[in-house]
Amino acid sequence: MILSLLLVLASQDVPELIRQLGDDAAQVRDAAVVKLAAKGRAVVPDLERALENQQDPEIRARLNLVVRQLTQVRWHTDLARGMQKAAAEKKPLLVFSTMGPLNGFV
Amino acid sequence: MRTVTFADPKVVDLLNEKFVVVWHNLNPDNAARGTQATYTAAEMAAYPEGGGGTNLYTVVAAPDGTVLNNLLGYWSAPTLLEELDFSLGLTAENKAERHAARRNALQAQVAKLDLEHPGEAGKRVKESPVLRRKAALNLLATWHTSGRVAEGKVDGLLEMFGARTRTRVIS
Repeated sequence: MILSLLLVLASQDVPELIRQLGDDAAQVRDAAVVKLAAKGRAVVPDLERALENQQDPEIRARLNLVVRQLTQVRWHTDLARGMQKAAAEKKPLLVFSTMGPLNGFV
Repeated sequence: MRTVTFADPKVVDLLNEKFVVVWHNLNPDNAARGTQATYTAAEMAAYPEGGGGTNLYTVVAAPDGTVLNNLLGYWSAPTLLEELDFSLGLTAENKAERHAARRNALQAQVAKLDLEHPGEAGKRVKESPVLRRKAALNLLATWHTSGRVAEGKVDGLLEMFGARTRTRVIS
Protein backbone atom coordinates (compact mmCIF):
# COMPACT_ATOMS: atom_id res chain seq x y z
CA MET A 1 0.00 0.00 0.00
CA ILE A 2 2.70 2.49 1.06
CA LEU A 3 4.91 1.34 -1.81
CA SER A 4 2.04 1.86 -4.28
CA LEU A 5 1.45 5.35 -2.89
CA LEU A 6 5.13 6.20 -3.22
CA LEU A 7 5.17 4.94 -6.81
CA VAL A 8 2.14 7.09 -7.65
CA LEU A 9 3.71 10.16 -6.02
CA ALA A 10 7.03 9.54 -7.77
CA SER A 11 5.32 9.32 -11.16
CA GLN A 12 2.93 12.26 -10.72
CA ASP A 13 4.75 15.00 -12.63
CA VAL A 14 6.95 12.74 -14.74
CA PRO A 15 5.19 13.54 -18.07
CA GLU A 16 5.69 17.27 -17.48
CA LEU A 17 9.35 16.77 -16.58
CA ILE A 18 9.85 14.64 -19.68
CA ARG A 19 8.35 17.46 -21.76
CA GLN A 20 10.78 19.88 -20.08
CA LEU A 21 13.71 17.70 -21.23
CA GLY A 22 13.09 19.23 -24.67
CA ASP A 23 12.42 22.80 -23.48
CA ASP A 24 13.91 25.70 -25.44
CA ALA A 25 15.80 26.89 -22.34
CA ALA A 26 18.89 24.84 -21.48
CA GLN A 27 18.51 25.52 -17.75
CA VAL A 28 14.98 24.08 -17.84
CA ARG A 29 16.25 20.96 -19.65
CA ASP A 30 19.11 20.55 -17.16
CA ALA A 31 16.81 21.07 -14.18
CA ALA A 32 14.39 18.45 -15.52
CA VAL A 33 17.22 15.90 -15.68
CA VAL A 34 18.11 16.58 -12.06
CA LYS A 35 14.45 16.43 -10.92
CA LEU A 36 13.78 13.17 -12.74
CA ALA A 37 16.96 11.59 -11.39
CA ALA A 38 15.98 12.68 -7.88
CA LYS A 39 12.77 10.64 -8.16
CA GLY A 40 14.78 7.44 -8.03
CA ARG A 41 14.47 4.00 -9.56
CA ALA A 42 10.65 3.96 -9.27
CA VAL A 43 10.29 6.18 -12.36
CA VAL A 44 12.54 4.08 -14.61
CA PRO A 45 9.62 2.11 -16.18
CA ASP A 46 7.91 5.42 -17.04
CA LEU A 47 11.09 6.72 -18.64
CA GLU A 48 11.63 3.51 -20.60
CA ARG A 49 8.03 3.67 -21.88
CA ALA A 50 8.59 7.28 -22.90
CA LEU A 51 11.74 6.27 -24.76
CA GLU A 52 9.78 3.77 -26.83
CA ASN A 53 7.55 6.52 -28.24
CA GLN A 54 9.81 9.54 -28.15
CA GLN A 55 11.17 10.90 -31.46
CA ASP A 56 12.84 14.12 -30.23
CA PRO A 57 16.60 13.38 -30.14
CA GLU A 58 17.19 15.92 -27.35
CA ILE A 59 14.57 14.31 -25.12
CA ARG A 60 15.75 10.80 -26.02
CA ALA A 61 19.36 11.63 -25.12
CA ARG A 62 18.34 13.11 -21.80
CA LEU A 63 15.95 10.24 -21.01
CA ASN A 64 18.80 7.81 -21.64
CA LEU A 65 21.04 9.87 -19.39
CA VAL A 66 18.54 9.75 -16.51
CA VAL A 67 17.92 6.01 -16.94
CA ARG A 68 21.68 5.40 -16.83
CA GLN A 69 22.01 7.57 -13.72
CA LEU A 70 19.27 5.59 -11.98
CA THR A 71 20.31 2.08 -13.00
CA GLN A 72 24.12 2.15 -13.10
CA VAL A 73 26.82 2.82 -10.53
CA ARG A 74 27.96 6.44 -10.83
CA TRP A 75 31.65 5.70 -11.11
CA HIS A 76 34.37 8.31 -10.91
CA THR A 77 37.54 7.43 -12.75
CA ASP A 78 39.81 10.01 -11.11
CA LEU A 79 40.91 8.89 -7.63
CA ALA A 80 41.96 12.35 -6.47
CA ARG A 81 38.58 13.84 -7.44
CA GLY A 82 36.77 10.94 -5.79
CA MET A 83 38.72 11.47 -2.58
CA GLN A 84 37.92 15.19 -2.65
CA LYS A 85 34.23 14.49 -3.17
CA ALA A 86 34.15 11.92 -0.35
CA ALA A 87 35.76 14.43 2.00
CA ALA A 88 33.42 17.24 0.92
CA GLU A 89 30.26 15.12 1.22
CA LYS A 90 31.51 13.21 4.29
CA LYS A 91 30.69 9.93 2.54
CA PRO A 92 32.78 6.78 2.59
CA LEU A 93 34.74 5.97 -0.53
CA LEU A 94 34.59 2.68 -2.38
CA VAL A 95 37.40 2.04 -4.83
CA PHE A 96 37.30 -0.92 -7.20
CA SER A 97 40.77 -1.45 -8.58
CA THR A 98 41.25 -3.82 -11.49
CA MET A 99 43.24 -4.57 -14.62
CA GLY A 100 41.53 -2.31 -17.12
CA PRO A 101 39.38 0.74 -17.81
CA LEU A 102 35.75 1.11 -16.78
CA ASN A 103 34.26 0.46 -20.20
CA GLY A 104 34.51 -2.91 -21.83
CA PHE A 105 36.05 -4.89 -19.00
CA VAL A 106 35.35 -7.59 -16.40
CA MET B 1 32.28 -7.73 -11.33
CA ARG B 2 31.22 -4.73 -13.41
CA THR B 3 28.67 -6.66 -15.43
CA VAL B 4 27.38 -8.89 -12.64
CA THR B 5 27.92 -7.67 -9.08
CA PHE B 6 28.06 -3.94 -9.86
CA ALA B 7 25.00 -4.27 -12.13
CA ASP B 8 22.82 -5.69 -9.34
CA PRO B 9 20.05 -3.14 -8.55
CA LYS B 10 20.56 -3.38 -4.77
CA VAL B 11 24.30 -2.86 -5.14
CA VAL B 12 23.76 0.05 -7.55
CA ASP B 13 21.32 1.78 -5.21
CA LEU B 14 23.47 1.29 -2.10
CA LEU B 15 26.64 2.51 -3.81
CA ASN B 16 24.99 5.55 -5.40
CA GLU B 17 23.24 6.52 -2.19
CA LYS B 18 25.84 5.89 0.48
CA PHE B 19 29.28 5.96 -1.18
CA VAL B 20 31.48 7.94 -3.51
CA VAL B 21 32.58 5.29 -5.99
CA VAL B 22 35.83 5.20 -7.95
CA TRP B 23 36.95 2.84 -10.70
CA HIS B 24 40.73 2.57 -10.54
CA ASN B 25 42.61 1.07 -13.48
CA LEU B 26 45.57 -0.97 -12.22
CA ASN B 27 46.85 -1.34 -15.75
CA PRO B 28 46.57 2.07 -17.46
CA ASP B 29 49.33 1.30 -19.93
CA ASN B 30 47.63 -1.94 -20.94
CA ALA B 31 50.94 -3.68 -20.36
CA ALA B 32 49.76 -6.74 -18.42
CA ARG B 33 49.88 -10.04 -20.24
CA GLY B 34 47.87 -13.15 -19.59
CA THR B 35 44.83 -11.44 -18.07
CA GLN B 36 41.35 -12.40 -19.14
CA ALA B 37 39.40 -9.28 -20.02
CA THR B 38 35.84 -10.56 -20.21
CA TYR B 39 33.83 -13.55 -19.01
CA THR B 40 30.90 -15.33 -20.57
CA ALA B 41 27.68 -15.88 -18.60
CA ALA B 42 28.59 -19.57 -18.20
CA GLU B 43 32.05 -18.68 -16.90
CA MET B 44 30.58 -16.22 -14.42
CA ALA B 45 28.08 -18.82 -13.14
CA ALA B 46 30.95 -21.19 -12.40
CA TYR B 47 33.32 -18.53 -11.07
CA PRO B 48 34.26 -19.08 -7.41
CA GLU B 49 33.74 -16.29 -4.92
CA GLY B 50 37.09 -14.77 -4.03
CA GLY B 51 38.54 -15.84 -7.39
CA GLY B 52 40.58 -13.41 -9.45
CA GLY B 53 43.00 -12.68 -6.61
CA THR B 54 45.19 -9.67 -7.19
CA ASN B 55 43.39 -8.62 -10.36
CA LEU B 56 40.42 -7.35 -8.35
CA TYR B 57 40.66 -5.18 -5.25
CA THR B 58 37.68 -3.64 -3.46
CA VAL B 59 38.66 -1.00 -0.93
CA VAL B 60 36.38 0.97 1.40
CA ALA B 61 37.80 4.10 2.99
CA ALA B 62 36.49 6.72 5.40
CA PRO B 63 35.69 10.18 4.01
CA ASP B 64 39.24 11.27 4.93
CA GLY B 65 40.72 8.39 2.90
CA THR B 66 41.62 6.11 5.81
CA VAL B 67 41.29 2.49 4.65
CA LEU B 68 38.56 0.66 6.58
CA ASN B 69 38.05 -2.56 4.62
CA ASN B 70 39.70 -4.29 1.67
CA LEU B 71 38.88 -7.45 -0.23
CA LEU B 72 40.63 -9.30 -3.00
CA GLY B 73 38.92 -11.19 -5.79
CA TYR B 74 35.44 -11.55 -7.26
CA TRP B 75 32.47 -11.41 -4.87
CA SER B 76 28.80 -11.91 -5.68
CA ALA B 77 26.20 -9.20 -5.11
CA PRO B 78 24.80 -10.73 -1.88
CA THR B 79 28.28 -11.08 -0.38
CA LEU B 80 29.34 -7.61 -1.44
CA LEU B 81 26.13 -6.15 0.02
CA GLU B 82 26.95 -7.80 3.37
CA GLU B 83 30.45 -6.36 3.23
CA LEU B 84 29.19 -2.88 2.31
CA ASP B 85 26.67 -2.91 5.17
CA PHE B 86 29.46 -4.03 7.49
CA SER B 87 31.78 -1.33 6.14
CA LEU B 88 29.24 1.45 6.76
CA GLY B 89 29.60 0.81 10.50
CA LEU B 90 33.40 1.02 10.48
CA THR B 91 35.56 3.87 11.70
CA ALA B 92 39.32 4.11 12.13
CA GLU B 93 38.74 3.73 15.86
CA ASN B 94 36.48 0.66 15.86
CA LYS B 95 37.75 -1.27 12.84
CA ALA B 96 40.07 -3.68 14.69
CA GLU B 97 37.31 -4.78 17.03
CA ARG B 98 34.63 -5.00 14.33
CA HIS B 99 36.80 -6.90 11.86
CA ALA B 100 37.53 -9.46 14.57
CA ALA B 101 33.80 -9.83 15.24
CA ARG B 102 33.10 -10.18 11.50
CA ARG B 103 35.79 -12.87 11.17
CA ASN B 104 34.25 -14.77 14.10
CA ALA B 105 30.77 -14.51 12.57
CA LEU B 106 32.03 -15.85 9.22
CA GLN B 107 33.82 -18.72 10.93
CA ALA B 108 30.61 -19.49 12.85
CA GLN B 109 28.76 -19.72 9.52
CA VAL B 110 31.37 -22.24 8.35
CA ALA B 111 30.93 -24.32 11.52
CA LYS B 112 27.14 -24.23 11.05
CA LEU B 113 27.47 -25.52 7.48
CA ASP B 114 29.68 -28.36 8.77
CA LEU B 115 27.02 -29.33 11.30
CA GLU B 116 24.13 -29.08 8.87
CA HIS B 117 25.83 -30.93 5.99
CA PRO B 118 28.06 -33.67 7.41
CA GLY B 119 27.75 -35.70 4.20
CA GLU B 120 29.51 -33.05 2.12
CA ALA B 121 32.90 -33.54 3.74
CA GLY B 122 34.16 -36.21 1.37
CA LYS B 123 33.07 -34.50 -1.83
CA ARG B 124 35.18 -32.53 -4.25
CA VAL B 125 34.76 -28.77 -3.85
CA LYS B 126 33.70 -28.24 -7.45
CA GLU B 127 30.88 -30.78 -7.00
CA SER B 128 29.49 -29.32 -3.77
CA PRO B 129 27.79 -25.91 -3.44
CA VAL B 130 28.12 -26.28 0.34
CA LEU B 131 31.89 -26.75 0.14
CA ARG B 132 32.17 -23.85 -2.31
CA ARG B 133 30.25 -21.65 0.11
CA LYS B 134 32.50 -22.80 2.96
CA ALA B 135 35.59 -22.00 0.89
CA ALA B 136 34.23 -18.54 0.12
CA LEU B 137 33.41 -17.85 3.77
CA ASN B 138 36.84 -19.04 4.89
CA LEU B 139 38.50 -16.87 2.28
CA LEU B 140 36.38 -13.89 3.24
CA ALA B 141 37.28 -14.45 6.90
CA THR B 142 40.97 -14.10 6.07
CA TRP B 143 40.33 -10.52 4.89
CA HIS B 144 39.03 -9.73 8.37
CA THR B 145 42.07 -11.14 10.14
CA SER B 146 44.38 -8.84 12.07
CA GLY B 147 47.30 -7.89 9.83
CA ARG B 148 45.33 -8.48 6.59
CA VAL B 149 43.21 -5.34 7.01
CA ALA B 150 45.17 -2.60 5.27
CA GLU B 151 46.28 0.48 7.18
CA GLY B 152 46.93 4.03 5.98
CA LYS B 153 45.26 6.01 3.22
CA VAL B 154 43.56 4.64 0.13
CA ASP B 155 45.83 6.40 -2.39
CA GLY B 156 48.92 4.87 -0.76
CA LEU B 157 47.32 1.42 -0.81
CA LEU B 158 46.43 1.73 -4.50
CA GLU B 159 49.97 2.85 -5.28
CA MET B 160 51.18 -0.35 -3.61
CA PHE B 161 48.71 -2.46 -5.65
CA GLY B 162 49.93 -0.74 -8.83
CA ALA B 163 53.57 -1.42 -7.95
CA ARG B 164 52.77 -5.10 -7.38
CA THR B 165 51.03 -5.25 -10.75
CA ARG B 166 53.94 -3.59 -12.56
CA THR B 167 56.35 -6.05 -10.92
CA ARG B 168 54.18 -8.95 -12.05
CA VAL B 169 53.95 -7.64 -15.60
CA ILE B 170 57.69 -7.07 -15.89
CA SER B 171 58.56 -10.50 -14.48
